[in-house]
Amino acid sequence: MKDKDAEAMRAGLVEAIPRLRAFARSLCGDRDRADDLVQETITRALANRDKFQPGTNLNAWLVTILRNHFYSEGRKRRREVEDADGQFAARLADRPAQDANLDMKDFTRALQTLPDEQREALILIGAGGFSYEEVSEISGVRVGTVKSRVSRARARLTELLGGPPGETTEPPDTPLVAAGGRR
Amino acid sequence: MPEATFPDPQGSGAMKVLGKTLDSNDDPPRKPALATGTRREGDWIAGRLRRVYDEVRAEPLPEQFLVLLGKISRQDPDESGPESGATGSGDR
Repeated sequence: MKDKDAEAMRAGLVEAIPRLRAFARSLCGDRDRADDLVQETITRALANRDKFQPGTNLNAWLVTILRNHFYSEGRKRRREVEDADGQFAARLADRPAQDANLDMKDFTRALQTLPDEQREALILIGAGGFSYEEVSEISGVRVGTVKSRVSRARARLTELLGGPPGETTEPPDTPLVAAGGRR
Repeated sequence: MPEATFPDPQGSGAMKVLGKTLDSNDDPPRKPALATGTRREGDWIAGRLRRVYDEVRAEPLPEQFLVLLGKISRQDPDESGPESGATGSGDR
């Protein structure tokens, strides 16, 4: 790698860390684990820096490394946040439909109940600034699959949280849910 | 007397604010939509996702990253830690 490219990559790595932390935190829902993921990602990126093609999307490359490590790690350990019995959903179902105090804790908890692939797609599209095509590359699936995952994730969150605070909750059998809301 | 704020009756999106005409060039950067034809519920979900992002990005970096940044700035790859193997499908 040329000095100029190496310098650009160094700068890119430094700049990417806060964004990677945000992605990792959203993905795994745990601060310490997220920071470990990012640290490992940077370490791997440096160790494999010759495999990065200058001029291509460094952020997408880093996110790919991070999510691969996340899934690899996830195979070894059981998810800490689970909702297998639907307890979280049941608790939320008891909430008033119009709850202006819907807070971020509920949102982040609900986010963690989504299947990993759906959560990943939703985060990268909704906050990561990536296009569907880029997420398709990162995740190694077709664009249509990414769109389907985002749609299902949105439907599930809407189902769990009842929609935005202060607005009318949609009935559970709206077309959005019917189109992709089944788990 | 300052000019009042009012929406453009033509609906072009232009708006006069205290004598200054705002047009599309003054619009804030577009935020990513969750899906084509974003619905209202998609907006609030994206808003919360961005809030999570913003909160994390606003945090000071933990010590471990300050050390890592020091290593990056020196760019001595051997100091960045043990070779941790392939990056999987991320090796693009």
